[in-house]
Amino acid sequence: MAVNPMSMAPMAVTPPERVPRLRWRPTRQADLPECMPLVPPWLGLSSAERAALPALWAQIVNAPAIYSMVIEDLGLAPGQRVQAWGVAMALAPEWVARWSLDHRPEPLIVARVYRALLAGETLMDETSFGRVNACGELSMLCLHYGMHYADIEHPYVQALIAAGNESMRFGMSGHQLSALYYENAAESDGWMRAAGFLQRSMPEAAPLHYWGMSRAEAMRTIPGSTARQLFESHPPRFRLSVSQRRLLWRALFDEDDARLAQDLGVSAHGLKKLWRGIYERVSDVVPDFFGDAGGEDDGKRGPEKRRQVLAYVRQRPEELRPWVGAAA
Amino acid sequence: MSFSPDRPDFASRLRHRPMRRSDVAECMGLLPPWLELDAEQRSLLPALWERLVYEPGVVTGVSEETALPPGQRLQGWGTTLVMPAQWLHEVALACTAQPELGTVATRAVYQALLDGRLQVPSEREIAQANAGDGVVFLALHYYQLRVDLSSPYALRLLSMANEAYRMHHAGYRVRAVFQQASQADEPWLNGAGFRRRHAALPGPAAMQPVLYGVTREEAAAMLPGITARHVFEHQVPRFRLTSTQRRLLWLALFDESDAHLMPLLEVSVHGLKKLWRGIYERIEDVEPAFFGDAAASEDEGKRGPEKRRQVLAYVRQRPEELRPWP
Repeated sequence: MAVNPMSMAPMAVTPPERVPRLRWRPTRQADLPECMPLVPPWLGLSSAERAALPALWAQIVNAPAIYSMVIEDLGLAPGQRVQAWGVAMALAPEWVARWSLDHRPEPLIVARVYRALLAGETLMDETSFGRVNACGELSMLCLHYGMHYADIEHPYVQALIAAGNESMRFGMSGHQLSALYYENAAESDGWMRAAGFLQRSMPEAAPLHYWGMSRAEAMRTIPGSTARQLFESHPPRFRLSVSQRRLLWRALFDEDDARLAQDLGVSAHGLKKLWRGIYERVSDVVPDFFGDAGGEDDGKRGPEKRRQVLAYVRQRPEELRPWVGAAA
Repeated sequence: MSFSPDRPDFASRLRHRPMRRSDVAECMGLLPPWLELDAEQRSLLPALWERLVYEPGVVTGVSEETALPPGQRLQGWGTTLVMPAQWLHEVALACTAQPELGTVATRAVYQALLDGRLQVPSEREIAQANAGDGVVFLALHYYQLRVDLSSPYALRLLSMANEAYRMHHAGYRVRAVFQQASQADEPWLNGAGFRRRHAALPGPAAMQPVLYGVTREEAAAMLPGITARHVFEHQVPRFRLTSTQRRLLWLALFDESDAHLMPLLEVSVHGLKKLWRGIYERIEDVEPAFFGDAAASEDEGKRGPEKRRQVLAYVRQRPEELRPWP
């Protein structure tokens, strides 16, 4: 059994021949045991640090500054479905400066990030995130994307990479990004380039390659690639609360109310109240938003209103992101 | 246009959606100048498009600026036809040696549609191609009101066009995708991963049509990430839904209300409910555990919205369920 250079999981030479039923969604606490074997071995973490990751991830998986998506194969049995895991982190300008991300950083950036978090440093909270986002100084560091298989010629692996691109486009869009950073293994050069990332210099003999894109570079790039797409942004219009945004983000994956209530830690009544709050806020800002569905009978009109709100935010993801500043 | 979308205080609210029959008049303002149809052809286009817009062999979407008043919202229009298999060899591949075939591809298709020599393929024909060697797409044209790529708003529109193209063309087994555009459009076509198929003829770049495209063999040499490569991702559908069921799901993906869906599908409230029930039943036949707890009740009125969400969640990421398959 070989070891995948992009993850620590033992791998067969090629994936099993099966029809993939891939879908991507935000990571849940319950996914973490399946995600841990997808942490790449090249991060440069010690055994002790690696052993501490499950507890760290249990703390941060739902943090506002963390973007974490799994790609699961619905054709497999529950508990064996997660085929890829990608994570990124929103960074304040101080963290960018501290690790020289805009210059020539020392290799093994992600290991240093993990060490800082394991030592108790905290991620950006909603308010700081919103402030940095609103003034266009937000950066994102892609921590890692791991798959069980590394044979990128194989259609199953290409389907996983395609799903990884889609999940990134959807999961990380809607911010006023200043820059994107991504340190990755040399084996991933092909798909990093295909996703539109630009290679940066690192000290010679660095074990990893360093990639990125700045806003200025994005604005000089014609749209089409994944990296370029993440720089599309507008100020939000509705300025929804943290819980309202979180509910909408989860609801975009068409989860049922029972699952949404569980994920958000609210009762069925609390969930209805959250939806009502969203409809009221939207109607306050744009009184004719719901057209004929604007009646007060929420029990009857709720699903229609929900569809209209979701249709809007699905293509206007800035409404889902933290924002502390002037309204549009 | 009186609005200034590049002004910092303009709050853009772009979205994309499938074209509707009621968009035809506005879309006629979005025909590219390089198309150079004569006056008679142009006068016949509105009626042609009213006939074509809901054909299964036509893939067409608009980008609209919802911050503008109705009737002035459309900012971009793109439209694609599923082409007969022989067109791939007779025109798209042959134009490398005979550029004049490539330069008039869209004009020739319009003329053939107008005089009846070309019929848009039926559901059955698309299904056969989809399950066989794959469908050949020709994007007849994409045009947006703002074309100067130094304008941030023009780039936004282009970005939206990429998203729309990915969504509208995904889920087919694709043999090749082609796009007619002008020589001046080459930067954004390259940005989306399309390659020029032939040399451009002499003349102003903005008025010289060129055929761009990617074949399956070329896509196989690319890694995922870019628009043109993305549409070659394909799996065999699992549920084999009917044509009307697929159409309902496709339109529902844009979160249209029932009131909007009914006239588009030409069904009553009762007919719409029946369609949804048929979809749930078909899915449960193939995969009894699909709905989990939501399947426990037969009360469609109560459980319908939950089931609908689950189905839409699935097909949104598995678009092969939305495409014709025998």
